[in-house]
Amino acid sequence: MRRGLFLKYSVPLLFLVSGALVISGLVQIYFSYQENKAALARIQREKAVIAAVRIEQFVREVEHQLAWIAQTPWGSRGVPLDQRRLDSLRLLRHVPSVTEVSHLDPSGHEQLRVSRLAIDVVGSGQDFSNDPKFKQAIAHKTYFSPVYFRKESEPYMTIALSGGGEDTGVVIAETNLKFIWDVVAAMKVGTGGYAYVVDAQGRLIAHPDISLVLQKTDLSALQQIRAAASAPTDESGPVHVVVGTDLKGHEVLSAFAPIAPLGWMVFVDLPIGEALAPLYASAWRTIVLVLVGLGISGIASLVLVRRMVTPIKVLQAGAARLGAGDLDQRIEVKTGDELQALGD
Amino acid sequence: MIQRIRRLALGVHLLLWWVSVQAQEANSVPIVGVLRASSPVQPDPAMAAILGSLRSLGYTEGVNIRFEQRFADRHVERLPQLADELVRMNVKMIVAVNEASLLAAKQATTTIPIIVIAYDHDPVAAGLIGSRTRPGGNVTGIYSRQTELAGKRLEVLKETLPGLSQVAVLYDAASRHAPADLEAAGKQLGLQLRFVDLKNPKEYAGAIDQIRGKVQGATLLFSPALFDYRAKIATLAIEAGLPMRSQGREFAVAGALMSYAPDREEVAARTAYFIDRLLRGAKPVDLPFEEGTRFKLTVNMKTAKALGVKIPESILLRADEVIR
Repeated sequence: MRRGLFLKYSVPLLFLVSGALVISGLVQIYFSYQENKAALARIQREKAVIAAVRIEQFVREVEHQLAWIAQTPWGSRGVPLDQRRLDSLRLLRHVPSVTEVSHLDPSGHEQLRVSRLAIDVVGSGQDFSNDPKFKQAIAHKTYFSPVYFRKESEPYMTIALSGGGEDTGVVIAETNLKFIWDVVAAMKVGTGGYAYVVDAQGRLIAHPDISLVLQKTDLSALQQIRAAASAPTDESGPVHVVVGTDLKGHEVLSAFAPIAPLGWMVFVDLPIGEALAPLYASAWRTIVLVLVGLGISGIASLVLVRRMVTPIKVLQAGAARLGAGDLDQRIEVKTGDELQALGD
Repeated sequence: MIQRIRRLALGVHLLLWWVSVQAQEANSVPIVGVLRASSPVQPDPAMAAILGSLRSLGYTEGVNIRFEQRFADRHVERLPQLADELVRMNVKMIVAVNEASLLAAKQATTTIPIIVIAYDHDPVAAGLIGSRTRPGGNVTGIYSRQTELAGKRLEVLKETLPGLSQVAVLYDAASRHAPADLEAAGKQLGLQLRFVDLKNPKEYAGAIDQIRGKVQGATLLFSPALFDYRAKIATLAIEAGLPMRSQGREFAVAGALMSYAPDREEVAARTAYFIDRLLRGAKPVDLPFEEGTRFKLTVNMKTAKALGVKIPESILLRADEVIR
């Protein structure tokens, strides 16, 4: 009977207090995991956005410089080839990444090619009218070719721009993309993190490890890239936190930003171990706190139950004596509550 | 007394310990060997540019990187010995400037990474590497595209001198230029080339005097010897009334009419990139061979004035540097 009452009260009390502690601990760990992840993803996305903006500016600058050459009309209203050549030289001067500029007339025939490396060609008449450089530029104003590698190692992209008028042609710039490599290589993301760029098909365009790019690595199967392809590209929206994998299969925390004109994406990945390191510390703190809380609550509930059970024991003993006929005695219970009243 | 001796002994002990720690630290600073066929110059803008680029990557000479330069003073035959010297110093890598230095470095080691810069030939066509993406062996580096630029250079010269039809090609045996590239470019531009061998500095004057009046312009191919005598050659050319273009900016500074050369800042930045990657443990085979993409046109207006050459707008427009 004595042990029964003690257990009956101490065990549920212990469960009640410690259960609340454990649950609050778990909830805290869960929410700080989510918040931590979201905060990291925000930081990572900001880095991705910075890289994306720089790459976009780079491409826009080439586009901008090409635009005013593209608007020069051909035919009777046009300018002599010499003037076009001077304009091209000026362009090469202003945009170091462009190595070659070629001018197509409105029928898609090449009239002039100015290069940093090769001898300039005047009036080759080569027909590009069925080439995507010409057709896409006429149809969509601007054409960005897929990235290609000159002599296996130099990343290039063709940017073609049409003047948009009836008597304007298309200007084509062969653009070296090493600048984009430099942007990506210079990104510092924690100690083990890095940035990289993929095109719309998920092919690697820039990565700190250039040999991966030159091997034309296809990343389209990676989870973060699949998720990004289907994610809305609205920058003001909530940050999509994605736990993906790197090429070696290690888990990474990943964020991305789109490079609007190109359909490319900048990714910033951080190994999950490094990303969650501060979280592990706080989880340990929570666990230690819960354990300490459990200890204290255990002792407290024992003390409480004992304080309740002891006067009951006295009352029980008194009642037993009363039952045995000893009516003179007083039952000494000094708890100052209902039990004492019962004793008195 | 005994107390004092003890204290002194302790002090000496601590001092020795501190010295040994310092020595160890000095040893742990990685050494980068640089092998050059030329003579030392002061100041050394090429090296300064590389150090500058390395600084932006967090390296400081004497703190976390150390350079050991070896110059052959144009005596190419000394290069193998100098390369061996660098290998014995246990350098982390060798930066070989020019082809001759590269050959010596390759002879000296098959394990220490070699970064070759100012390499004038297509590295795959020359058989140096199997592929640019994965060079193979212990060599990677930057191809300067000098041979590829043969045509562009003649074109710039022709544009500057509208009446140009006969061009002297000044070279020495160490230039190792592919004459085929030049011949083809000459033909394309309708120019007749006349090859003039500048073997011995004492014969420069005679050789240039022989072509006086027979050509309207000259192009100078790079070699370490011609580089060292650039001022002399430039003066001889001006005296002979010969507009001469050349490969390196230094030639234009020394008095050549113009130069069209790889951008030193770009070469320095890429060299620093290679050094950084190798120090951080990358293997040369994983570092694709690169090539120059930026070239600088330098025009010397003082020489133009002395020769009575009017530099056309299209040249001035693209000139990155005009020396007045």
